[in-house]
Amino acid sequence: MLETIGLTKRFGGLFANTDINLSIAEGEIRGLIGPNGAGKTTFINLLTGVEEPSSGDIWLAGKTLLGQVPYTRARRGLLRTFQVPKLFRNMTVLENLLIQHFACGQGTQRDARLRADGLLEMAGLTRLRDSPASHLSGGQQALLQLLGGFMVERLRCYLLDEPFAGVNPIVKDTMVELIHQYNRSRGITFLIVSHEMSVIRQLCSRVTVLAEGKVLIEGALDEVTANAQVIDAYLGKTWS
Amino acid sequence: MSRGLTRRGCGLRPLLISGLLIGVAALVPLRVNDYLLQVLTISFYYVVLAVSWNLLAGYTGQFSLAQQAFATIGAYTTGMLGHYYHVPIAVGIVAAGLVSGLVGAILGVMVLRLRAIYLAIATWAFAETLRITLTAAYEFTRGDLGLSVPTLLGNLDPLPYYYIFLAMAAASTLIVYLVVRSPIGFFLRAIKDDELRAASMGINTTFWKVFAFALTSVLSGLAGAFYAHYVAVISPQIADFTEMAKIIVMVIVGGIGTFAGPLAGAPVVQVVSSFLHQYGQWSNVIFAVLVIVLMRTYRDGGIALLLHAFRLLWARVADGRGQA
Ligand SMILES: Nc1ncnc2c1ncn2[C@@H]1O[C@H](COP(=O)(O)OP(=O)(O)OP(=O)(O)O)[C@@H](O)[C@H]1O
Ligand SMILES: [Mg+2]
Repeated sequence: MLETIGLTKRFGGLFANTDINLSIAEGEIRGLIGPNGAGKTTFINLLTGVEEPSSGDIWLAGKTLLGQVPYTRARRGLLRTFQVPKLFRNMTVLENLLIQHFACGQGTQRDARLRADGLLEMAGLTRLRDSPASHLSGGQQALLQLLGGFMVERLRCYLLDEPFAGVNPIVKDTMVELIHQYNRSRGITFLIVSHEMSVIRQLCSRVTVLAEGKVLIEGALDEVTANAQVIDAYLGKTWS
Repeated sequence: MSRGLTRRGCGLRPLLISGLLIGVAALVPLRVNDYLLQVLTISFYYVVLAVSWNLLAGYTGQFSLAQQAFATIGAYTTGMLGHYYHVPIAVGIVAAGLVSGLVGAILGVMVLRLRAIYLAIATWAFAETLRITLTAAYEFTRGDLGLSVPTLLGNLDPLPYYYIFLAMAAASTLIVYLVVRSPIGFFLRAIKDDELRAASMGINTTFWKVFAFALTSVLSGLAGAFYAHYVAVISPQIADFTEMAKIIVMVIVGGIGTFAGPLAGAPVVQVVSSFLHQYGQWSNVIFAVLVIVLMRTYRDGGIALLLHAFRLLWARVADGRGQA
């Protein structure tokens, strides 16, 4: 579904991503972990076209994404969330979902409303439907951001940048449940950046470890966390 | 319809308020003298510019300082076409809309990557360049001497013009209202809030930003053309920055970011400023003070102030009835 070949990004002298070869199968939920500053967000920015890679290539469902601007990538079914939740604060909770439908959804506005109501119901946000998004707590904002992508039928690959950061356990469970559900029922592929090993263990059969812009290792979570290099990468950063 | 869409200044309420204001305006000629009628007629020209600018700056976040320049382009397009080629007025007005829209789109593309203050400076420079060019090219434009333009109806009876300009203001307001309420309105508000997020969710931000420039330029250009055919003599003065300042004051007085604001702000400001005219240069100072006072005491603007007063009054009345 999603594949990168030798993906590299330089910021001046800093290599934020170096020669990343990553291949995610259709319907897979892949975890992406690594210490702070490892280049995880940069990687998502490259995939979505926020940044242009210095070299390398990106393929989505057999077609290159290179040279495509962010909005056309979104229309090819590649959506993302942001590490710090980005909502439209001057819109209501419902409007924040509807706009995703207007942006690249299919079907009628009526369908979109029904879908939005369904999602808010599942997420337990129905009560806040007509409140301004700025009234939501941090966790609720992260949740609403996640719901946005599910408004779009053509969503194929959803990139989540630390979706669980600052989210309370109950909302976290809701999010895990939603991800599982959309993965099973619609075969959506996920790439999830997270520091929360317990959630990653629940969701991801495979994880990729990034450190200093490079892929360190890839495999089952327990496999990679037992790896000496990975422990070094994490501890080295924390202790130094 | 959903309650979600009727919140936050894009529901039906602004349409009702606008309709009410227009209804009141339609009855005004019964009560006022010709002079005031003419002042109000001109104020409807400003309504179009203020409503347009509100869409561009208030909703989309593109703080342009060139709204009056597009009206000027419209005015001179029909003026010059009539003066040199004797094209019919109707054709001149349509051409004015097209030329303004085209120039607006080009300017929109040129300032795409500019942020807030730089966009303001670039659009200001554009308007100044236009004004100076029109002044300097006096062989064609007659510069400050003024270009004479045939009047729309061939006479100067104020009443028909009043209704024509009122209709023009109402039509522009309706168009902007429909845009704001449609998905396009969502896109424009999203762009103002967070362009990166808007693009990431599949919105063609470039297109919609240019669209906002083009649409508001078409409306302003048409208004400028009607204006030219009403005042009969146009000069580069209509591209002056003080005109833009006036538009901003109108939007602020009405209530920035509120939909019906410009509709109320423009006539009020125009009437007050024509009254202050007798104080010459001092009128600007008095205006500035008024705006500062309003901003400090009631930031939501005049419309909100009126609604607030109305609500208080209503509560009193309802209360009185309850006790009776
Ligand atoms: N636009 C930029 N310009 C310059 N340097 C950047 C830019 N974006 C990221 N970097 C640098 O690239 C490196 C990787 O940053 P990135 O945000 O991708 O890390 P991350 O893995 O997402 O970290 P975190 O866990 O803190 O979110 C960092 O050293 C960062 O300072
Ligand atoms: Mg990050």
